[in-house]
Amino acid sequence: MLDSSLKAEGIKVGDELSSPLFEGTFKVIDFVDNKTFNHSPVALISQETFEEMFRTDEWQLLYLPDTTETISSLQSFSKKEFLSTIPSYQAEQMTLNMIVWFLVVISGMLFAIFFYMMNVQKIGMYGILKALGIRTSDLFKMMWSQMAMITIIALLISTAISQVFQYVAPDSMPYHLTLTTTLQLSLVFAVVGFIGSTLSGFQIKKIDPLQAIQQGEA
Amino acid sequence: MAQLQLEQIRKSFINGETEEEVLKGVDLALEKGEVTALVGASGSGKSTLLTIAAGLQPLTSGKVIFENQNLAELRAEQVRAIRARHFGFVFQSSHLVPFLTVREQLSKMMDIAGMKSTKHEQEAQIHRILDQVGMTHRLNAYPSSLSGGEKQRVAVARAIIHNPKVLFADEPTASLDSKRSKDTMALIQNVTKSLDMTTLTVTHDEEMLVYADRVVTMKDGQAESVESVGRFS
Ligand SMILES: Nc1ncnc2c1ncn2[C@@H]1O[C@H](COP(=O)(O)OP(=O)(O)OP(=O)(O)O)[C@@H](O)[C@H]1O
Ligand SMILES: [Mg+2]
Repeated sequence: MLDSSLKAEGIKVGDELSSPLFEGTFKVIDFVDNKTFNHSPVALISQETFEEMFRTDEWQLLYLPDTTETISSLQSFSKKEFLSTIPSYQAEQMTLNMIVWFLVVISGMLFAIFFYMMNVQKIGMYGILKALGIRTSDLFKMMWSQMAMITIIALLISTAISQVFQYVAPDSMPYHLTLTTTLQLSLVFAVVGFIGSTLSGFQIKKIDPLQAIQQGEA
Repeated sequence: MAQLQLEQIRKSFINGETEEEVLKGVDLALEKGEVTALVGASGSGKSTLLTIAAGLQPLTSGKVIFENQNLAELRAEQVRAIRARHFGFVFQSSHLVPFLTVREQLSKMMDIAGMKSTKHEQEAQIHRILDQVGMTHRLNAYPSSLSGGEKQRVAVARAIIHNPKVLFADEPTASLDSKRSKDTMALIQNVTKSLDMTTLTVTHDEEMLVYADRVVTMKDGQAESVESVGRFS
């Protein structure tokens, strides 16, 4: 049994593969998903073949779901402990997390700045509406509904793109975006956008309608 | 009593060290059904007087009396409510909201004015006013697709859609050519009469004075009022 990413290399069920460590051949009987070790595809073979190939009857590693029982000659780890003992795993995970959060912060800031600019650009119009007698609270409502509309559209588009990417990305690429993560990030963006536009909205309170009228004259 | 009465309006601006008194005790009475035109040299304080009368800026001393209330003494929120409900504005440039159609500009203004009317009544009012300014055929147009004269006609429509009692227009024709200017001033005069409004307008153009009932000349911080020849023409 092989990791399904090997399908991309042209290997099919029924093919025969050989290894310099083994006299016979391996027949590919099936593919399994997500069986990689340090991003390299893994081949699953029977226990006898393994013993013959490596001339040993000692196991190096045994994965037992839900067990605390210890086996002589092996140390036992929980999944988390185990993962963190793989030296590159922790470093890689940390870098990835940092990249992800860095991107979240940067794009969140861009989002907030975008709404800020949008409002600044409209200050003249807001001033005129104030001269006509609009309530400041109604201006805020106008601004929020616009922000909500833009945010929803932006999130729909980006979710669609990331899901499509998820679908077409090669399986060997360590990229998995769950719906939960997407929703969490969407929420973060909605909140950041709201904060961004509301902060700049406080400028609306300060707008002097008189200035807007006179700017129109200049 | 006049619809809008200005009494002993004084206004000073402080520019650094010096204090400049622009209005030195202006008295002015604006009557119902009349167009009053403010004229005077640049910097004589026409816009300052108009915006004070409209409750858009504080005054140093004096009274602005509208319906037995002195705007100078009211709280900002009360002045805002009066502006929304009873005042209409036309500016030098039309200042329409770019992302709203002509119809939406007008229904938005009715909302701002707090008019409690059904959708049907709103629609009828929009048609009535657009008919008056001759813009019914551009009901669903956005401002960017209108000509300068058309924009200003829509701006006049927005200024009167909520049946205001006072209409303020600071140089409403400054961005228009001679023909469009006359049309716009005639329109303002027309709606003032037909809706029995009180109109205060600022103009630089002598030709526009025929559309006014009263001409007020600003000079040295004082206002001098004369009846316009246009009244009898
Ligand atoms: N916000 C302000 N701060 C300081 N000075 C001001 C302010 N607004 C107006 N002024 C001064 O008040 C005077 C009158 O200005 P105003 O705008 O009323 O003139 P105007 O008669 O409307 O002129 P124009 O015909 O050019 O429009 C000017 O000298 C101007 O510099
Ligand atoms: Mg002026």
